[in-house]
Amino acid sequence: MTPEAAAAQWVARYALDTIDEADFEAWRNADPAHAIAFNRALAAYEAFEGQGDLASAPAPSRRGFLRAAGGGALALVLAGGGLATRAYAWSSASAPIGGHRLLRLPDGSIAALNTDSCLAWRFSDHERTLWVERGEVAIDLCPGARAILHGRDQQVALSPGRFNARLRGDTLDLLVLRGRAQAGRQPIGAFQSLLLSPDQPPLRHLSAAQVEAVIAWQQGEILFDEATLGLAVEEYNRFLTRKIIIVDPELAAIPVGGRFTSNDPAAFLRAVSMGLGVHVSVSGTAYLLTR
Amino acid sequence: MIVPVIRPIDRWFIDEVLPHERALLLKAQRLCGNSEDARDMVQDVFARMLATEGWAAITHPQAFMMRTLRNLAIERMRRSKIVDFRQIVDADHLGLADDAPDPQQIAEGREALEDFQQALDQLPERCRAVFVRRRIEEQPPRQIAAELNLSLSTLEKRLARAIELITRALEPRRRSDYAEADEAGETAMVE
Repeated sequence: MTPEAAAAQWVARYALDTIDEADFEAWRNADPAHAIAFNRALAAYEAFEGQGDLASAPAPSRRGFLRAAGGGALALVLAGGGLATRAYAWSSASAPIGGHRLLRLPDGSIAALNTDSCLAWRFSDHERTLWVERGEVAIDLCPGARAILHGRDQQVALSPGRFNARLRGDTLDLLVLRGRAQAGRQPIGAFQSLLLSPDQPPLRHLSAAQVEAVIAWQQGEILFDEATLGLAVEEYNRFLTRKIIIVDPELAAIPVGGRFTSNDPAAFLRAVSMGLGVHVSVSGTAYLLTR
Repeated sequence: MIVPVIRPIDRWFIDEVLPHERALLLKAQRLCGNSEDARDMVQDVFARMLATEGWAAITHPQAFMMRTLRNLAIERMRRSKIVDFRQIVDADHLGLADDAPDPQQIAEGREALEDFQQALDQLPERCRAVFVRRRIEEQPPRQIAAELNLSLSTLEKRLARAIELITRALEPRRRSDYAEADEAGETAMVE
């Protein structure tokens, strides 16, 4: 007998008051699928709540539906009020070193802030302005008013889509994952990345592996693909209050690769120590890498 | 100690977990790309929900399940050698699902009622008769058995069959419309 047939039988016995509770309990405990199947069958059996309901109520979970509908109305009221009061106000959010923050912006767009980052925004009916003030931000922009993303001195128009923007010094590194961006007369498409510097902006096409490395931070990870130890350490230090310092400069050129968690450098340092034969020592304020 | 047939966790599961099955299936299918794996993943999530000791403290079951689904999806991606890039991008969003009812869910509630009526209409007559008498008219089992001239065990078999058929008819994972809705959802996403 399939679990579905058995479950229906137990519900029938329950409905007819012929159920043997010990037998039932043994069956239910034998497999998690049994408990699920039983609840499915019970829910189907109970879906019908009497003749009157057939005409009016949305089955099967009428209570759930009413609660959900009520909650929806409440959420709309709150969102409306919130928008009205801060239509022209600046808002900002930041994530501390080693931190990570997810935000829902007033228009429903989503922003994720990487370690040591700050995003400011101001939304009106006809324009959405976003400022990457520090660090790195992933933005999932929903359709709506014209959207402009600012770096230090640069600005980029964004279509609805998904973007990763990182400020490196005065340069804004923008990666388009979905949708389009336009910097001056330079269009940027999906899986392209633009370095917006005061000078000529170089457009790069990224491989899937490179794109994965850029957005790995959103999973709490750092991904190094064909990087050097110097670059890897620089990347890691963004997440650390106790920084990693390369004492012997020639170590910086060693090629490295791998996937590590961003908030705990232990695995990374172990890999560096064992894989590269680099000596790692810990001082009060830093991890020191020497030959 | 005697465990009740329907424990508090089962009530909670029926009211707060099962109604999100369709939404979970849609997400799972987008994450893993095929409906068979999607069903397995959702079944996995359900099994974990029923094994969660602190279930009563879960304030937003849908968001909680979306997170669980996301973690399962990421585990799967790690195990597979070739990673479809879109999955990683999508996986991020699952943690953010909120509890607001989407219009689809509301429409679904209304449809479910029609589905139930249809499922009931399509039952074999012998099964339908016992189901209607017991469930809808709430007649005592012995009275039903006597009036239909059935043994209690035959009554039980017919009612069980009715319940099995209705359960199957109402399950989103067996219904083809969830696959079609998924395609519509994908198209909408492209803008």
